Amino acid sequence: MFFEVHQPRRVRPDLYRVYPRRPGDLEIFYDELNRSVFERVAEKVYRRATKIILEAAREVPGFKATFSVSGLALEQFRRWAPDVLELFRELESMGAAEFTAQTYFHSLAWFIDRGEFREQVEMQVRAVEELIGHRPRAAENTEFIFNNDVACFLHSMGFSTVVTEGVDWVLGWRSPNYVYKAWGCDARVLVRNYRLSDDVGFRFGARWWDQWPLTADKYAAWLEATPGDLVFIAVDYETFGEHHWPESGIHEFLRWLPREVAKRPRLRFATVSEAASRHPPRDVYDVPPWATISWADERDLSAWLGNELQRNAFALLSWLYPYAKAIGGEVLRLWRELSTSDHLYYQATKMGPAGEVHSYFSPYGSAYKAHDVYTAALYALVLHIRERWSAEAAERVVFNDERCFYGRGVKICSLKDLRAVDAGFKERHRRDLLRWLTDVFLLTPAEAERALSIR
Amino acid sequence: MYTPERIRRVFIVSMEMAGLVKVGGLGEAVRQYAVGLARRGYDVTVLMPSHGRHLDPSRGFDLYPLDFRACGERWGLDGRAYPYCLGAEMTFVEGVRVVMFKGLDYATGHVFDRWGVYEYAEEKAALLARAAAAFAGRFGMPDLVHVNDWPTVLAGIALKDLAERRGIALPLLFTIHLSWDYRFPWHYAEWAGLSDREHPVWRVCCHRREGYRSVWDEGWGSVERFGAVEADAVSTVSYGYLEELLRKYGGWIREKSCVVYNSTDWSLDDVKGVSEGDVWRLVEEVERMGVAGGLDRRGALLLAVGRLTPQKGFDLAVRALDYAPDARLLILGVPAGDWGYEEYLRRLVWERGGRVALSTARLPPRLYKALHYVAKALVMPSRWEPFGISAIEAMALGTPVIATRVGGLAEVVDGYGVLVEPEDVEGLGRAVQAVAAGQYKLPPREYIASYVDGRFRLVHTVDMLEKCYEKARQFAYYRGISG
Repeated sequence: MFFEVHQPRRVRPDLYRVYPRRPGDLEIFYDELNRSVFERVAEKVYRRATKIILEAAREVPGFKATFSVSGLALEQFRRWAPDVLELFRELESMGAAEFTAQTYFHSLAWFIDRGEFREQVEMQVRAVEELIGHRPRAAENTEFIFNNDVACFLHSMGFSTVVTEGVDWVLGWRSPNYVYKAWGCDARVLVRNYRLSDDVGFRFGARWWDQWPLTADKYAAWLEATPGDLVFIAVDYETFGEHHWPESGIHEFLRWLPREVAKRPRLRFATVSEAASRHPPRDVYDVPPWATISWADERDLSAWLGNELQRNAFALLSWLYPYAKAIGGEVLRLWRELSTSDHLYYQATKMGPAGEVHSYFSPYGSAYKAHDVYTAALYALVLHIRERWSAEAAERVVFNDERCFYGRGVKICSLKDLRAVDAGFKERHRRDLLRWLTDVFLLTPAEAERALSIR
Repeated sequence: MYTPERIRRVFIVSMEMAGLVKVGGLGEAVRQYAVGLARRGYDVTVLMPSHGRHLDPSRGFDLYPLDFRACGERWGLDGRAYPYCLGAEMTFVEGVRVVMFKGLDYATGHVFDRWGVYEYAEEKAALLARAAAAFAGRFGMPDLVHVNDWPTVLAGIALKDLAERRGIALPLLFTIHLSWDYRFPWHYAEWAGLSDREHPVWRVCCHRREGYRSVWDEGWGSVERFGAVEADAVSTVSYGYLEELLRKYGGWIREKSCVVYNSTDWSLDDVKGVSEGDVWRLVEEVERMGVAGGLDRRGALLLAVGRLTPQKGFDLAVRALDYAPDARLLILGVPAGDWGYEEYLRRLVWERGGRVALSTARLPPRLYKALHYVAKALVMPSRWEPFGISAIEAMALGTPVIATRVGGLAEVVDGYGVLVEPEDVEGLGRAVQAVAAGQYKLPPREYIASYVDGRFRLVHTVDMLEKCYEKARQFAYYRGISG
């Protein structure tokens, strides 16, 4: 069993009221709401469900589970529910839980910059080690976003196992209940059995469902009857008390499931790394980079990048990255907090069941409002960048897109590149280069002149 | 049943036709068929949906309303009646009569007149079947029906069925330009106007009487397979692709199959005055229209063209540059709505800025052809490719092609270029480097161009098409005498 634990840092809906003054951190983020949501979920889910799991770990021999906790969630645990971290630590010390790596900010950094993605994963790994005392061996990308490149990149970072969604079009006739190998490298891939996962995650409380009510013994019987080497059940941790309220019986289900599973000799629990190492890979899980999958909605990226609002907002976020990276510190931290996938998730304009799920999570009421709020937050980021920008920051910035200067076979993407260019070229393109330095590197005319004259 | 003894009057059913409505190579091929046949004296009528073009005053061609209405009701699985009402307008293109069907009421037009050719393709295909059958009922049967790709299958079978019920074994040729695996329950065929009826179906050696529904269900509702079984003859655009289709549907189709190559009218005359020394000047013209990435004017220019979809394998070409230091690649891409792929490709391009540029601008034909001419080679790393019209266009200008050994590319490129294995980035890179650095000796330009003249001109297409029509007529004759 795999539990995804994440809480975003939501943006304040009336942020625009601060402008034209540069808003501070607490004016951008709606921490009163964030705290109240977190404390509610901590009380209903994190504390109670983790205690149930801990109890199961003590009483049911061999019971194990896997958690993937985002860095933002860890921060909020530390601030508002440190006792839950204590429970996680206890689970870890008993060997009953594995904690996997993911992006610290639960972000879409993969699609912006590989270096940034690496840093965010490394930040989360450090946080898990520091706060829970576990060194992750397995990893997921945010929301199970996956393709061949993601798998191999995570593998190159030292993670032997990568988890993702068992998508029908990728699997074809094959079953999700086996270990797979990534295409192009030796990473082991565990794919979620979404049917059995959604029975708990979505259908548990659905009275229209012909299998309602779902009991632990019924579910364990289904697991026992499922062919294959393993069944990878992955759900949001908030399933246990928030998505399904305690009155639905979800806590009782969680309490009794380990015991019902233990009764069946064919079944035993394993963490994701154990499961991946225990069984040989049966085939290759091939997901080309242009057909990236995830566990959300239609199992693609449409939950975050499905409409023009989302793509435009994401394009602006990506555009600002080199500047934020060059400044670092609080500005980079702000950029990273805005890279959290939830901000784009709220901007989905989907209808039907997927649209209902988006609305359920959104604190803004509509995708358009969410877009306005997010754009206002990006504007705050622009103000921070403008205010903190300096010639030193310009020295550090490196572009990798159309902001590079191309001319007659020469490509210049940083001030370091500029210095390496011969004087004749600089002289021939002096006017264009000066304009480029002021427009793209945000230098003053005097600084631009100086940058052009330095060798 | 009576079978036409000679093919004079032909209905070509299609979703697109170049010059009127075109998305890809299908429209170009259909125009070639129709115009080529008309020039040989055939009475050709192209039946297609208007896709809303009759509502567009700036569509660029004249349309005349026809005295034609096909209205009725279809029954949904919910037991309710769903009315439809279709009309038609007509135009002429180089001696070809083109009938464009349209919706006559809001409910029909709302779907049938959608501007996007393959928007609501299933519903358009079902309504096209109704319209085609009504049209033949009103204006008379042709001597042969030629359908193109899965959306026209039901229209073709509706016409064949109508003729059979009138005692005519109307030959039906089904051309698969690009194979699709759209599947629907039997109700969809009924929705398109077909009713379950016993009729002769070719099975390996001879015709047997079977119901439409059993044929439909044995192929799990695959429209294309239904068409392949029901048609008197099945054609495709290359022998390589035919083998792929035979593997998909069974070797028993071989007897009634044939191949019709596409053709090109590009020639060296189109690029008179252009010299290979113009290469970077022409690239600059493209760059002025906006590109992703850029070219540093070093090494040899190679070109890649086509829709920006994984099928065309542009990502492989860009990655292959890592093994080809002397190559510079210009991609002239047509956005096809695959945002994920375009973003992925752009990322690859920016990572290799200076060595590759991606343009999505609409280039004037003069510039487009000139770039083909000055490029050292055209790179076609397709993952699948039924024919590869871009290859013969480049070769018509004497430019060699570096292509993957898939579908029709191997036989199209023949010995006039370099073939590599699909998905082999390193192999492709080495081939590109060998061509860019001049290590690989390519045939002379005129030699390549004359190869195209001898094999891929309109006259060859129509010759091959006539053979297919004759095959369809013969199989219809067998059907007629056994039915």
